[in-house]
Amino acid sequence: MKKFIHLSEETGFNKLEEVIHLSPKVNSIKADKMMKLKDEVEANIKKWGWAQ
Amino acid sequence: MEHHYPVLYQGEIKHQYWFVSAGKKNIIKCVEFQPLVGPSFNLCLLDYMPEKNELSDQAISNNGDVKMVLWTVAYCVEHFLNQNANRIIIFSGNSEGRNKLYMRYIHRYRSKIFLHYSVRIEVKSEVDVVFYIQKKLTL
Repeated sequence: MKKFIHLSEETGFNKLEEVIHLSPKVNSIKADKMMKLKDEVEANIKKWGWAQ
Repeated sequence: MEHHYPVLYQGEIKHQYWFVSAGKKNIIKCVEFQPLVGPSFNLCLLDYMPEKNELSDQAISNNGDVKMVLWTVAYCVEHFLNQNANRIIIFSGNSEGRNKLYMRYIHRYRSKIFLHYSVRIEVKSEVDVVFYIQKKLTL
């Protein structure tokens, strides 16, 4: 990866905008794991009264 | 809020917060809040892999700036919950070490955190820990 140590905040943000524009695909193992916990999460937040 | 990296927020379609982790090398990272169920959102901390044009949570970067990265994630959580007060953030570490690290930081900064947020930690095993965060509602 091209290094941009010491680049200014503006230049860093320009680089980020370039990457965002490429619309990278998300590959998340944790997201899959959390999706499997959906029912449990839903039950917990109801039990704790957090779902208002 | 402690010092954190500058963050670029992309909130039109996805709730994504982008920043550059400037440690031993520069790594582009993204915090994404993914809808899970009801008001709950899954927090994902992802590294950009330029060779695949992919955001992944499988990289071990060891970039030497864990504290700055965690403060940046905390800043993203604060911003997200300020924008969406009734939402709940759920996250889990991908290792026992990560979960212990998150618990250590929550414990260390508990007086600040618990002032504004409700936190629940569900420990099923040392590896299997789920964190829940919700902003306390002010009357």
